[in-house]
Amino acid sequence: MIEHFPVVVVAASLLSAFTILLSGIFNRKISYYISLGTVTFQLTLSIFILDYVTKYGTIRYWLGGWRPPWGIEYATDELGAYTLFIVLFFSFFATIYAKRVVEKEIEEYKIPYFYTLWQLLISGMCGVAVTGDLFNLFVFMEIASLAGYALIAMAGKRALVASYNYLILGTVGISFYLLGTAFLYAVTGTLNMLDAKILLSLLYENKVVHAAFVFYFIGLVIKMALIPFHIWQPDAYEYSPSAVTVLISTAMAKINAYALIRIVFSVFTTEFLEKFLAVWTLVAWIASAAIILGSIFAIMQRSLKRMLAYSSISHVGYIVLAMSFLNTKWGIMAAAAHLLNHSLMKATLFMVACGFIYKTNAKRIEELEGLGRKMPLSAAAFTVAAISMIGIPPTVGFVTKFYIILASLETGQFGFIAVMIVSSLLSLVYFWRVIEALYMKGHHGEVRRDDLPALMLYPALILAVLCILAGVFWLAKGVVFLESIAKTLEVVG
Amino acid sequence: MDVAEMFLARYNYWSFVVLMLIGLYGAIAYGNLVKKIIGLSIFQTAIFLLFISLADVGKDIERTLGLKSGTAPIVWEKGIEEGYIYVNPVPHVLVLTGIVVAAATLALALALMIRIYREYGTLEEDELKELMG
Amino acid sequence: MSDVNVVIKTTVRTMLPFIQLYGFYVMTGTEGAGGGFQGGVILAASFILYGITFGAEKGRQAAPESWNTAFKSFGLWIYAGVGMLTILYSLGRAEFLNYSATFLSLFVPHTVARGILIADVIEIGIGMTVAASFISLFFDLVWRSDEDGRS
Repeated sequence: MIEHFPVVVVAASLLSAFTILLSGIFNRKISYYISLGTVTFQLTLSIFILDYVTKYGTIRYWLGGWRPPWGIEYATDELGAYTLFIVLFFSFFATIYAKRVVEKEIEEYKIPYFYTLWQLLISGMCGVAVTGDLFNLFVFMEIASLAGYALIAMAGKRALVASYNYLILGTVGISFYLLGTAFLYAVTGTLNMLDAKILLSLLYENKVVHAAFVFYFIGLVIKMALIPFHIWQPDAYEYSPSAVTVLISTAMAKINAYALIRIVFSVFTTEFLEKFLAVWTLVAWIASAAIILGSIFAIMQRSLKRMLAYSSISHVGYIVLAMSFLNTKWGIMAAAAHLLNHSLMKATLFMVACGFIYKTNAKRIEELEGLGRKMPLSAAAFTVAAISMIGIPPTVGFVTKFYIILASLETGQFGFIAVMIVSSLLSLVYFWRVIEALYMKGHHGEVRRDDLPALMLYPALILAVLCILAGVFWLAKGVVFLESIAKTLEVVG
Repeated sequence: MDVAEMFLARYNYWSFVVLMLIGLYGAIAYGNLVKKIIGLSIFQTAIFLLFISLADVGKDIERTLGLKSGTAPIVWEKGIEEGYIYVNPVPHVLVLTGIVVAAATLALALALMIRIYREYGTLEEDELKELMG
Repeated sequence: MSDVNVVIKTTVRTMLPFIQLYGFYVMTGTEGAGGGFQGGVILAASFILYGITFGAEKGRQAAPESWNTAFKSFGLWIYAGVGMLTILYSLGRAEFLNYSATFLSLFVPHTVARGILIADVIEIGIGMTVAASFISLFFDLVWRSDEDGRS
C-alpha cells in the first residue's frame, strides 16, 4: 500500500494545479485553500514514506507495470524520502506564509494562476526527489524550473529581466544535463539509474563516460549557482515575490543539490571519482573559494534580500565541499544534513526579511533601524537564525560545520578547517550589521508594537525554534539516520 | 583510424558539435534578448540531433533487405515475420519529450520578452542595464 | 488588394477541416507514427492558421479563453485520473498507469486493453491539453493594433 504513495504525492499536486486553474474561473478565493489542503495531504503522505523507508529499505515502483530497463522506475531510498520530506515541509510553511504577501503583492485576477504555478513547482520538485530514472529527473526538473521562472516574473518590472537571465542560464544548465544523459545512453543503452551504475562499473576508462560526468557536473552546478556560475541568483532572489523567494531559496535549491548527489554517488560511484581524483580535489578548492567569495560579496551589499541571496551562494559551496571528501563518511553526512539545516535557517531569514518589507517597506539595511523594538518577535526569529548561520553550538549551522571539520580531520586535509573558521567570521560580520541596525540604532523611547500578522509570524517563529531543536536532534540521535544514508550511497568511511 | 574515416564516417557527430557551439555562443555572447533565445533554440536542437543520430542502427547488416539502415519503428506483422531491423525507437521518444520542453521554454521566453518591451521599450541588454539603474 | 485576400481566405477555409481530421488521425496513432503531442500540435496549427488569415479578433472568438482553460484542465484530469483509477480499481495491487487494471479488462483480454484502448484515451487527453495550450499561447502573444498605438 505504501509503495503507491510516492506516485500519489506527485499526481495529487498535478491534479490540484489544474483544479485551481478551473475553479479560478468561478471563485478566486478558493485557490489558496485548495493549495493548502493539497500540500498538507502530501506532507502527511511523505511522513509515512520516510517512516516506511527507514524501516524496510528502498521502495522500487514500476510505472505502468513495465519492468526496467525499458520502463520508468521510481526508486525512493533514504536520501530520496528525506529530500521529499524537506521539500514538502518547507512548501507547507511557505504556503501558510504566502496568503498575506500574495494578497498584497499580486493583482487579484492573477491569484489562481499564481497558485497553479505554485502547485506545478511543488509537483516538479517532488518528482525529482522520488524518481529513479535519468530522463524522468530531467523532465521533472524542467517542470519545476519553468514554473519557477514564471513565478519569479510575476513580480513586475525588474523581476522580468531577472527571470529572463535565469531562464537562459538555467536552460543551458539543464541542456548540459540532457547531453550527459545522451552520452550515457550511447555507451550503456539504458536510462535507469541502478542499471547504469551496474553497466558503468566496467567502463570507467571510457572517454565518453568522462565527458558525460563533466557535462552532468557543470550542468547541475550552473543550476545550483556555484561560483562562477552564480550570476543569475542575486537578481532572481531579490526581485521575486516574497512567497516565491521563501520557496525557491529553500526547496528548489535543495532539489538541485539532491540531483547532484544522486548523479555523482549513485550513478558514477566513488570508485570512478577515485580514478578521477585530481579533478575532484579541484572541485573542493572551487567550493572553498565559493564559500569565502560569497561571504565577501554578502558583506558588500546594502539591500537585505540581496545579502541573503549571496549568503545562499556561499552555502551552496558548503554542500559541494562536503561532497568532495571521499574516504570518509562524515563528508556525505554533512552534505545530507546541510540540506535540512540551511533550509531551516534560510526560510526563517527570508520570511522575516520579506515581513519587514511587507510591514514597513524597508528594503535596505539602513531602513531597518529600530525595528527590533517595533517588531520584537520577528526580530528575535531573525536573530536566532543569524546566530545559527554563524555556527554557534548547538544550533543547526554548527552541526554542518562540525561534520565538515570531522571529515577534514579524518582525511588529513586541514586547510578546510581554516575555511570553516574564516567563513564563520565573515558570516558574523555581515549579520552583525543587521542585528546592530535592528536593536541598537533608531530612536530610543517608547515605540508602539506592530508586529507581523499571525499567518506570517508563526511559521517564522516555529522555524526559528526548530533551528535549535533540530541541531540538538542531529547531535543526539540523527547521526544514525545520516549513517544509513551514507551506507546507501556507498561512501565507505 | 585514419583521418578520412574520422571526418567522413562520423559527420553526424561533427555537425552536432558545430551546431551546439554556434548555439552556445549565440546564447551567451550576444546582448540582444532575441538573439539569445535563438541561440538557445539552436543549442537545444543540436542536442536532439545527437539523440536521433544515436538511434540509427542496422547500417551494415544484411537483414535490412535492401534498405540502407533500419526501417521506421512501426508495428507491422510482415516486418516482424521477415525479420526486418528496426531503428531504435527510444531516442525518438526522448527527443519528443525534449521538443515539448524546448517549446514551452521558448513560449515562456517570448512572453517575457513582450512584457520587457512593453515596460522598458528596448530589448538590448546594455540599454536595459542603464534603464534599470 | 482584396483579390489576394479572397484567394487566401477561400483556400484556408477549405483546408481547415482536412488539417483537423489529420490532426485527430495523428493523435490516435499509438502503434504507428504519431501520438498525443504531435496530433495536438497539428490541431493547434489549424486554429492558428484561422487566426492568421482572418484576424486575431475572429480567431479569439473561435477559441475563447474559458474553453482553453477547460480543455487544458480536462486533458490533464484524464491523464492523471486514469492513472489514479488504475490504482484505485485494483484496490492497490496494480501500479500507476497500468492499463490492464481498468474497467475494460472485464470485456477484452488484458493485453489488448493494456496496449491499445486506454492508451488512446490517454493520448486524446494529452492532445487536448497541448492543443489548448498552444492556441492560448498564440492568442496571448499576438500583437494587436489597438494596444500602445503600435501595430
